[in-house]
Amino acid sequence: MEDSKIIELFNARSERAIDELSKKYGTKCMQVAYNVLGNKEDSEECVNDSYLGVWNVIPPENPNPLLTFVLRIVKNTSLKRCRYNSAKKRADVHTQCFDELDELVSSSFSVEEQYDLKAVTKEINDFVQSLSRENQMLFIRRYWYMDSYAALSEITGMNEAAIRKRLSRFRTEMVQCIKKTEGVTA
Amino acid sequence: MNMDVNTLIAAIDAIDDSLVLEFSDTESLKKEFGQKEKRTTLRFKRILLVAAVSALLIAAGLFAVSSSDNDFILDLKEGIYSIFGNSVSINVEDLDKKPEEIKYKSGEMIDILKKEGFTDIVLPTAMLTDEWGIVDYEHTRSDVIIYNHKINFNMTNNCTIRLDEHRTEQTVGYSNSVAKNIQSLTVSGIDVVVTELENRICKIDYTVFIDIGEGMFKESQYRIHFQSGITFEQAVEIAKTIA
Repeated sequence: MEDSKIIELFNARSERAIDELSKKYGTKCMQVAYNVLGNKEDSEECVNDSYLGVWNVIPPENPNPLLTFVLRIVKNTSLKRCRYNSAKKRADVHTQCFDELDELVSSSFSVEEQYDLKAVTKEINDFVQSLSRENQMLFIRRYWYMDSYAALSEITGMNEAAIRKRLSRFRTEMVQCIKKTEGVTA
Repeated sequence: MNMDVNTLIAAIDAIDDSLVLEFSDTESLKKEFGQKEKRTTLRFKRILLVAAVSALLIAAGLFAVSSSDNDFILDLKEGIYSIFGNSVSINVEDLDKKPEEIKYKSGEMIDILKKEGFTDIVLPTAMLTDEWGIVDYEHTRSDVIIYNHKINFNMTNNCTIRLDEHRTEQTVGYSNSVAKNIQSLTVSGIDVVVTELENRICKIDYTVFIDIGEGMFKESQYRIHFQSGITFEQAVEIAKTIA
């Protein structure tokens, strides 16, 4: 079913909207939730909570594209659950991904520096746009979809160490781009 | 706001929908990127096969020529080189790069490089004496090579050192030389290749591969050119002081 039809069902408050949404994007939602939580039961709960979240915001929202809108809700719901769970319960994948970014931030930015979220997003966006298609895919699958290195290796056929090295370089370059953000105050 | 990990995650989360959507379908990504990797591997294997067969065919002829020419020294570890006519191709990838032990040194050049963020420098100690001084220094950066340092030394001769530090999965290629003499030696666990080119320029090639933990690696490729005044034998002696 087309996205616009699914949104029409949400607007009409038809429960079939959630069935159709699940049929079309359920696998992708589960994948993102599982990448964050590393646990099937928790992931299923988060995906169902997210469907309810979508139900609550459409209408008035009329998202286009629908998929990224839903996946953002899934990811944020999963991250919230992940933080709620004890640190011990954190899934390995998310911990690694989170730790990589955490380490990057603590080693690259001082607490005095003030950044504007929109400007930082723009710099990251420009940085990702400047990468080759394959490198864009690696970056987005790792830091947006939070794929594990094993999953990225399965997609590309590259070995995990090579992917780690490449992504490490991207993180360094991303920091350099963020540092160029206009309006940074120290 | 301060930059913290949650801000960074939020910023990444807000990147363009079009980019996120483009890479949403795992199966189609496998088809697109997985096949590309296979093609590259196959092509690479084919090149290796052709190179191996060519080397076998040519080697006999070359050694016949070189044995009649007493000046030619070819002393290399097996399996790391190919010979095409009078050109020797060293596969840098196959050299041992993991040092048994590294003693980090001090000195003017080391200090300059450290200021540029180039750490864990492994150079011949023979070149860190007062007899050598830096006359010129360039620092460039590219997509593939993170740091590229070109350093001109003077002594009684000119010497150029080029240091490349990589943080990618690729070692930068093969070292192709029309060589007069060539010798490999293992110094502190690192394979080093010393070459004398036909125009009497000597060079030392080696790569140091350092595990910096958590699955991360740093690779530094060193290429030292002696423009003049250093004989092949002297270059070998200098190479022996790498530590």
